[in-house]
Amino acid sequence: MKMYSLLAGVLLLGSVAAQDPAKPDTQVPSAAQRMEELSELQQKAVADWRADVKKSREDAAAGRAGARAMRMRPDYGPVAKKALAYAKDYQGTDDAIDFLVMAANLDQQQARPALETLLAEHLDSPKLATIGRMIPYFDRIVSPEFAKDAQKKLLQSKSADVRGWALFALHQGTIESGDLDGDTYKDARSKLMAVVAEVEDKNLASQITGAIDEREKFGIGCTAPDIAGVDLDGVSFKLSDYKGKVIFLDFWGDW
Amino acid sequence: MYPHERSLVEEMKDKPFALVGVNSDQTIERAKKAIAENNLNWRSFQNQEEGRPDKISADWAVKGWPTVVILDSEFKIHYRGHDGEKATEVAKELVAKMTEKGGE
Repeated sequence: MKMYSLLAGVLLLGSVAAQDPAKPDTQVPSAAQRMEELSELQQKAVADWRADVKKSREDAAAGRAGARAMRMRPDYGPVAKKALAYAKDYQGTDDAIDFLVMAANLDQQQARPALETLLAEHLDSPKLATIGRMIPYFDRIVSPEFAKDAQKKLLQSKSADVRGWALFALHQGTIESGDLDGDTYKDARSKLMAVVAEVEDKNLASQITGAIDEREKFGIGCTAPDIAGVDLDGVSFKLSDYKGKVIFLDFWGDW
Repeated sequence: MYPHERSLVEEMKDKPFALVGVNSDQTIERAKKAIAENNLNWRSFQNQEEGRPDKISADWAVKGWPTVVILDSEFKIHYRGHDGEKATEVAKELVAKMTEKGGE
């Protein structure tokens, strides 16, 4: 009973503190709660943007004056800023990584501070592998110098997954367009196949084998395999039915 | 992309050229609607018909859409990528070479 009232008192204090920004906030909400809050804000940013685009179109169609230029994407700036601020409450823990990655993904302005913190404080966490797909874009998101430096640091991570992503980013260009019989290609290939054998991140492993497969089975100069399937009416046919002609094979969809 | 492909098929109809699609829409109805609305004039595989273990796009390691692959008369790959105009250029060159030879 006593315990119960004590708890109620704490909860009451907590809610008072939350309403008064001058008092220090003693209770930090869980990371999951805050993630949820941020994803709601993100959805709201998308909805606002859609409404904005619609209004711009209507204004333009009606020839109304003051029709604003359409924004190309939702304004994620405030959400990214908030994510970056929240990360501080979980500083040094893996929870912080989620917020920092979110900030880096959503907004170019927050990308540099978010990525800098990730590199400085979370380099050895396997969870840092969640930025793997972003590594090749660091030069465009932040700067070429930053990308170079980040690449070096990531290659030194204690996490095999993180090192693997960095190595993949480093050799991706060679795999995509290097000379198949050249030493550079062979060297890159063997290093990346060693990564595949070593990593736990299945996504990374399939990205690497996919890129090598694509190059070696479907690169320029390779002989394509046949396709046996059915058309949209369910009638069977083969790609080789068209052998002897130049074939424009188009992977398409209307979506 | 539709108007480009449609006029390409039209332009090349008497030449040794074929545009073959691999359609990856969720439903056949969706694909057929696009074909009817845009007068699409090429035949397409279903990317994954019922009972097919892997998608054709997976077999071909395709990761982005649209992807175009240009094959010569012997199935040798001359282009693979996302640039429809570049692909068209490569295909037309190959066709031109073939018809030149045939004329000799």
